[in-house]
Amino acid sequence: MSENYVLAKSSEAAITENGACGGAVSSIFQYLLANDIVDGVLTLSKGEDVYDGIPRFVTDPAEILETCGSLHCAPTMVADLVSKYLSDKRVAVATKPCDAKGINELVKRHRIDPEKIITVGLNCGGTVIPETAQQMIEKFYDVDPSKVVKEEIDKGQFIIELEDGSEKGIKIDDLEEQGYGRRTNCQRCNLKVPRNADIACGKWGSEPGWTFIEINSEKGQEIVDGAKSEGFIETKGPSEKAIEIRSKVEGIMIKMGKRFQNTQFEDNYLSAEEWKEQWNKCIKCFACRDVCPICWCNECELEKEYFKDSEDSAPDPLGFQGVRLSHMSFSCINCGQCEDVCPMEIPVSKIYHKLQCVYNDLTGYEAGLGDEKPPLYSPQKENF
Amino acid sequence: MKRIKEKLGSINPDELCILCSGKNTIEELEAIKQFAEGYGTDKIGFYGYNFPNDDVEVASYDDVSNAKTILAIGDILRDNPLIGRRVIIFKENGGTLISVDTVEKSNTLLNATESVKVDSISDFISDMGDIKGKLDGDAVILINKMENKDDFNSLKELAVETGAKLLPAYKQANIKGAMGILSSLDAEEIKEFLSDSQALITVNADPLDFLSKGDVKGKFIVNISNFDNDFTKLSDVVLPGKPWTEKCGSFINAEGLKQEFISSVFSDDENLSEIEIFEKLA
Repeated sequence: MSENYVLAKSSEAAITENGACGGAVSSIFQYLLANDIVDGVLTLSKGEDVYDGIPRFVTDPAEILETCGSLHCAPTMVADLVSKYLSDKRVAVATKPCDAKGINELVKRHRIDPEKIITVGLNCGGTVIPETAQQMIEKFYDVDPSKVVKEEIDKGQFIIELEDGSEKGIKIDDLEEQGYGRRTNCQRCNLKVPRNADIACGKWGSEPGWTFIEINSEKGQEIVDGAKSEGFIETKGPSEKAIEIRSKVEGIMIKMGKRFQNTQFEDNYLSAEEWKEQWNKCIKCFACRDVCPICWCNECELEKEYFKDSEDSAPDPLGFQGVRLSHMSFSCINCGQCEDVCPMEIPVSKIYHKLQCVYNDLTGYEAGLGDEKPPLYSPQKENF
Repeated sequence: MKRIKEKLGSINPDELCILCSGKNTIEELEAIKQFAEGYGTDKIGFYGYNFPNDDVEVASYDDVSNAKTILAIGDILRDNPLIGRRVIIFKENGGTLISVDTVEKSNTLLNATESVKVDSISDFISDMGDIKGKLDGDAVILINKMENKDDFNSLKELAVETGAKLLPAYKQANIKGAMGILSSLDAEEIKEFLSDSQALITVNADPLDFLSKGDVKGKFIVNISNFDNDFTKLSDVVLPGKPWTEKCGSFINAEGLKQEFISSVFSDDENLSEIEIFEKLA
């Protein structure tokens, strides 16, 4: 049995009842706040409904109970929130694997101080676009989307819970065959357990009422040990069977991700002519640049006079997307935010992620993992 | 504020022209209208980009997605991305997009099934040849570029005749809402207002978008705006009111849906909102 694995649950009854998988993550956050190890915790709050996730910086341990770790139908990205708004604070943050990848890339670029951040990773099977979620709940579940009080992705199913406590689940495979289900970037993702975070938490392999935690760093070990010794969590070792089940679930998810990579990057990849049609839709609104967590220059070359297009003509795709691709594709973490915000429905993340995968095959550099500097990295850029 | 009050106190009420815009909220427009009535001027309106006040029944955004044919006049994709996205979905559904514009190359022209370059939008509307025969009950006419207000009446008649639905795609977020409160003015009407005015108050409007510097020369100009531009330099008083992120209010979008927003940034500086400015001027 690996010493890096531990099962944990909150020591507080109110949290084990309300939190997912025994509430270990909530109690770890409370431990970090109560002991002044961090200034605040960046996590998600449910907004008006389950399709509305609002990033929230919590400084009071009592408020942790009002937040929730992941909302699968409200895909958010926290990496740039930390670098833009919280860089002067000691922060603990709940991260999906892509959030942790974003933080990793920004640490490499000196946008986030690694000494000031603690990443509490959450295993992730993927997320769903809010609009798509509501459409498919209406169409396949025959349920008014506003009546859904909770959702989760478990055992290959997208499960919704209604006000009366009843549940309905449909196989994600079946939904995705019909063009619904997870975001296409999530389908392609092959990082399901965020080992690039200090700890990776989830229910895969765990017993009911317990969280399965994989400890990935010295900092992660200190957090778990500290939360236990201060009485915030109880822990025990997982059984060999639990480890095996977790590994099997992860293996299936990774295999699915690779299968989708093959389908989306090879079988169904757009031809050069089809890509040209896609770029003809680009109105150069800059939304993809603005939302990219890794793209951070204080002064963007693309806004310089020599890149400006006439208002009486369509923007030149090479002068915008071409420049962005050459600049950013090596560092793409496949978070899919660019595609989510594109008003013209251009499958932007598909080409960025494909180029990163090709680069990874050639050089072994996978964005968001490890300590290696990104390609074409220049320390001078920090002065721009 | 004192300087503005002194000026307003020294002129006749009908020598004040107030120019609002489709960037103002419903609540702001109502407050400004109330101020104008109290002060005694009826020279108030907004530049409507040649769209007249009209309560014609318009196509919904879902109608755009589900149409079989779209006649798009102007660059809808680039200038109106929210409606443009519906045009993209319509195209993915197999719809036929006919794009008409005065420019050689635009995003909408590039994505069209049939592209028509014209010298004049008015001339095209008065004689669109065989394109008229392609419009029926499953068609939507989208327009964001007009040369005069009569063009819109011609399009309304065309819609009635063919059964096609019509959706004006406005240049500013709340033009539809503004039309329910104030007069939509074209450049000539604004020039006429200004010809015998001593003072001009603009509220989030830049008259140099549609007038020349000579048209506003010699007026006492109060410019309520957050933006520094050529018109700022011509203004006697500039009031950089609260930005929209610090305000709340409502808009009405092109399909007629009222949308409310709340302030997302709280500031303790002394900037006034447009409503507060007009309350103080009253």
